[in-house]
Amino acid sequence: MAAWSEAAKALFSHTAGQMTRSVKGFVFLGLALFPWGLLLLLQLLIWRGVPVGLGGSTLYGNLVVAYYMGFLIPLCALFFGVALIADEAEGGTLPYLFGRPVPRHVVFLAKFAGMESVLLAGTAVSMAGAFVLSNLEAGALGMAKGAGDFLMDLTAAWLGLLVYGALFSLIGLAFRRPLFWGFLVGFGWENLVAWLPGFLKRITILFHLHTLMPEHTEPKGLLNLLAASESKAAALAFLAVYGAAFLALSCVLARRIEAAHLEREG
Amino acid sequence: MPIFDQGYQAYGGERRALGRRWIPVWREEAAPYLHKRAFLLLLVLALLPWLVFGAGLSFAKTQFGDSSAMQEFVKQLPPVDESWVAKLLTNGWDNFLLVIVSVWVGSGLVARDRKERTLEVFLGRALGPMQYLWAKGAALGAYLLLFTFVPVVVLVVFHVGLTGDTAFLWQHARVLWGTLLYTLLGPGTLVVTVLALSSLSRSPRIVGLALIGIMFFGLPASAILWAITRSPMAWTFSVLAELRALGYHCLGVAPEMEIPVLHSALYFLALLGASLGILYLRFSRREVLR
Repeated sequence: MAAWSEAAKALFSHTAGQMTRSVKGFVFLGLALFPWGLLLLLQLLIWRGVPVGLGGSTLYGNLVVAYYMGFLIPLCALFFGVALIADEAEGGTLPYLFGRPVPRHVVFLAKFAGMESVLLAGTAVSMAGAFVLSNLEAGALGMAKGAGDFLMDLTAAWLGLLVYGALFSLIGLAFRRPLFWGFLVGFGWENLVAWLPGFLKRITILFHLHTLMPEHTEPKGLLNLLAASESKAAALAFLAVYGAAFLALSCVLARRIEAAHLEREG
Repeated sequence: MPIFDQGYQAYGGERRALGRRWIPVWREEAAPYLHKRAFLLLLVLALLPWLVFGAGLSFAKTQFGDSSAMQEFVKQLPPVDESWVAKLLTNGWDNFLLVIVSVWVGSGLVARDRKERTLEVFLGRALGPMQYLWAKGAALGAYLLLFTFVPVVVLVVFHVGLTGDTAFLWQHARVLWGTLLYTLLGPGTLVVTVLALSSLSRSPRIVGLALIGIMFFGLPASAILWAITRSPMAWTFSVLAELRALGYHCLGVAPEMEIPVLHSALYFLALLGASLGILYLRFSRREVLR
C-alpha cells in the first residue's frame, strides 16, 4: 500500500510538473491570462475617458459565462483530459507505466489528480485576477460585496473542470478517435442541448454549471418561456453523480485496456 | 518459375506523367473517408440546411397550390437570391461541421506522414513538395467543397429546373461567382492554414486541438472585445466570424458584424500569406523531415 502511495505521489508530481513545463502548459497560461488583457484594456479605455459599451462587473459576468464556461474550461479539459493516457500511448511509454506493480486505476487517478491540480489552480488565479481587475472602480468594499458571487463562480468553474476532465479522460480511454468524440460532445452536444428547453439538457454538464452560477444564464426570447430550472442542490447532485460515474468507468477501462493496442490517430 | 530463378526485370507498369503523380497520394488520402459511415453522416448533416431551407424554399414557391391562403403564405417566404444564399453558406451549423471535417481530415494530412515516417518516402521519390502539398490540400479541399460550392450549384440547378426561370442565371449570376470567390478565398485559405498547422507537429491530435482552439477561442474572445470597443476590428480574433463576413461580402450583402470588405480581404490574404510562409520554411529546407 505504501509503495502504491509513493508511486501515486511520484506520478502526481510528474504529471503536474510536465503540464506546467510543456508548450501545452504555456498555451493554457496564455488562454487563462487572456481575460486579464481584456479587463486591462477596459480599464485603460475608462481611464482615457473613451466611452465603453459595458462596465467592469458586466464584463466579468460575460467573461465567466461566455469565456470561462463556454470555452476555456471545456477546451482545457479536452486538451489535457484526452492527452492524459493518449500522450503516453503515442510516446510508447504506456506499456512501461502499466507494467509497474501499481494498480492501473491508481496510475490513472494519480495522473488525473495531477492534471486537475494544475487546471484548478490556474483557473482560480485567472478568475481571481479577472474579478479584481473588473472591480477596480468599486474598491475594496465593492469587491467584498461581490466576493460571494465570485466564490460561487469559482465553485462552478472547479466543478466544471473536474466533471469535464473526468468525461474527456474517459473518452480518451474509450475511443479510438478521442479528440473527435470529445469535440463533438464538448462543443457540439453541450452547447446545443444545454440551451434547449425540456428535460434533455439535464444530460449535459453545462446546464448544471449554469444553475450554480449567480449570473443570468437563462435563454432569451421565446425559449425563455419554455426554460426549465432546477435547484442548486439538484445541480450539485447531478454533477457529483456524473463526475463519479465518469471516473469509475475510466478506472474500469484503465484496468481492462490493452496498453500495446492503444494506437490512436487523433 | 521459382523465385530464385527470376532475374532482374524492368518495371513494366505505367509511369505517370510528372504532373499527375499527385493523384495517387490524393486518392489514398481522400478515399478512406468515403468508407466511414460516421463521416458520411456528417456530410449528409451538412447538406440538411440546404435541403430544408434552400431546395425546400424553391419547392414551396413553385409546387404549392393556388389557393389564396397558400399564395399569401408563399409571399411571406424570402426569395432565393444572394442574401438567402449568403445566410445558408455561412450558417453556424455548417461552420461547426466544417470545423469537424477540417479537424478529422486535415489534422493528420502532414502530421500523420511525419509520425509514420512516410513523408521521407513521398519526398524521396519523384514527388516534389508542391505536388505533395497539392495532393494533401486537395483531399481536404474536396470535402470542403461539399459545404460551399457544390450545394450552391445544386440549389441553382434545382431552382432553375423547378421555376423554369433561366433569367435567374444572369440576374443572380453573383450567387455562382460570389460563392466560387468565397470558396477560394475562405475555405481555400483554411485548407492552406490546416496544412501549415499539420506540418508543425508529428501528432494529429495536437494539430486537431490547436485547430479547435484557434477556431473556438475567437468567438467568445471577439464577442467580448466587441462588447467593450464596439469596433468591427474586434472580430479579427475569430476566424469563423471573418469567414461569415467574407461570405456576405462575396455575395454582395452587408454582413451583420459590419466588418469592412477591405478588412475581410486583407484578413484572408494575411492568413494565406502566413500559412504559405510556414509551409515554405518547413518544406524548402526539409525542416519538416526532422
